[in-house]
Amino acid sequence: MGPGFWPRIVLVFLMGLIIFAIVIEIRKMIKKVSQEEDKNQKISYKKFIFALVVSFGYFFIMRYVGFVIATLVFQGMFLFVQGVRQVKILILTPSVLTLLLFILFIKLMYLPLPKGIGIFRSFSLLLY
Amino acid sequence: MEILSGFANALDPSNLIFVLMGVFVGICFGAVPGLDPTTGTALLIPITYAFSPVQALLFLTSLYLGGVFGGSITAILFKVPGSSEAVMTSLDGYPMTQRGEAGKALGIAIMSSSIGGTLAVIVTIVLSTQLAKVALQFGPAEYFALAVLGLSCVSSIGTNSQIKSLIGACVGLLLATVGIDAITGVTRFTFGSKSLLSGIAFVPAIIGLFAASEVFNKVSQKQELEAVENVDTEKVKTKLMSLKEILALKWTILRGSVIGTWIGILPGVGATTASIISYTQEVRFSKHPEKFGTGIQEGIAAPEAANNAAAVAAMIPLLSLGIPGSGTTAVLIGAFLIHGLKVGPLLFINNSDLVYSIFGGMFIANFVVVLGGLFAVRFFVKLVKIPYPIMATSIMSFCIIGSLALGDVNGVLLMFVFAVVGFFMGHYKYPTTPVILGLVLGPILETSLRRALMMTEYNFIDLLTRPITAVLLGLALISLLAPWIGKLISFAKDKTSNFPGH
Repeated sequence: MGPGFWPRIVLVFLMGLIIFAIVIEIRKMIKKVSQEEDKNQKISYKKFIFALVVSFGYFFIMRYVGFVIATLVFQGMFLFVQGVRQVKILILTPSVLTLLLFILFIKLMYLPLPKGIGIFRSFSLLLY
Repeated sequence: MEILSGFANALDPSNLIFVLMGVFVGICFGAVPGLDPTTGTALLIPITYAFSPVQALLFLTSLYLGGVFGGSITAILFKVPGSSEAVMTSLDGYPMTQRGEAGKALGIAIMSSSIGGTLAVIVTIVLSTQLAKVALQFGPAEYFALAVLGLSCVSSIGTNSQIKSLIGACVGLLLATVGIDAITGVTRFTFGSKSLLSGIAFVPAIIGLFAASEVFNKVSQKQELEAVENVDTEKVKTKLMSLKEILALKWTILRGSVIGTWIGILPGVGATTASIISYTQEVRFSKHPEKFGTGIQEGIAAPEAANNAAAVAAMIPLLSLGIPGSGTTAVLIGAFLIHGLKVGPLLFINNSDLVYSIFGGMFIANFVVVLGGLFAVRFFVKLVKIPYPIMATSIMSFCIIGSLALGDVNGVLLMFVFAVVGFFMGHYKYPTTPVILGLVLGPILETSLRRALMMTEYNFIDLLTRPITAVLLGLALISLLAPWIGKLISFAKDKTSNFPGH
């Protein structure tokens, strides 16, 4: 009874369940019960990919440009991806939110968040 | 007298402030549609890193209690339940608002929530200390059976998603095996990654699965989210119930509290189920069932007492056995983990002051909910009007910074993986809670099973004939099969009712 014992048991169970689920799905297809499917169609994959790329990009650029600038840019872009076009909201929301996050995570919790490199680092060092 | 020192501890100003903040933030999360207490708890766990363990747990348990109540504010005023726990409250709450009795409806919701929660705290204090004593006698075989029972209850809510819930639970169990095997020390499924040696980091996983995936889901909707109806809410003022009114509803509130407490104790089912069952039972008990749905007081009191009682009682199996009683309590395990604490009966011995402070805090939180409902309803209503894109942006920032705060770069990557998985699970209607329960219960299941088998020299029969183990496994089997049996019975009834004269 080595380390492989338990994962094998779980996998056997999982295989059984998936076969069961496939049978149920096929039976649904035969019966053509497809009213439920209509609900699923309301998802736009384009929006999902955009949101994912912007969020991941935020995390990626944070180590180069530092927390403050990355957060400001990300929040503006994330609002834009969601269809916000009013310039007032696009500028005001990130400024206020970034300030709040800055106070919470850096001034109150002393988290060592990325400062960025080069000129961005000098900018971050002015703030924290 | 530990309980008194627990109360004193929770009333200490440095701790009390966290109870107040928790309830307040919780009501906000509960009130805003699209955010629920579970998301709130997952999202804010990284912040509690900066608190002491007592403060962190007081904050998060109060947040959960406040959140369960918060959903009823929007349910009553706008017919939009702020969180799933309040679905039933809108049935009778909104008609009362339409009649101009919004203040009264809110008052009933607040008092029932508070009374239900308080009664459940008393049960929790008594029951969990006793249960912990019993659990200390448990060997690996009993623990294995207990964990099986915990996992089986996940799937007992409706047959349609039972297979999907079980698949989710199995995926969670499988994810739990990543890292170093606790018994032999062999590394499993790490694929050469050093950060996976210690297993899947729990907090980034729950943030991804419960918070970030939810944002991705809402953001990708083709249609704009429905805006909350513009009801004139400026005049809304909560009217607390008089003693006479409370006494008139005493049986309703008591029934709701008992049902809620019972369902809360059951592993895997939480406050939402409790409020639904409590409402339907109340209709059955009522002398005038036809009036339900037209805005009667019982229709608010029953589900509200039940959902808060269930939220409290879900702490019983969590604290005394280490088995989470609901999705949110599974998330709460993350808070214990980041403070280096292990939930389970040993907590009552090694950290008894922490446990009793949590009890004291939950007791106080139930009163704070009343204050919040009394003085801050208008503020919470304003919060609902914040457009979703702004909400989504704040949550997403929190998800990423929070995961970065707790671990390293790998924590954020893991969070994204779970967010994408959670997005597709939501899309194909797979519930996410079973995955987390599997992830939490996996190590308990595996190590206790293997230890038990070693102790009985690999004799399965010896294992199954231990009395407690047999009873617990039997219960697990019943809860697994119950929905199918119910389906068979109703199928048979359908068949017989097709024949006229039967």
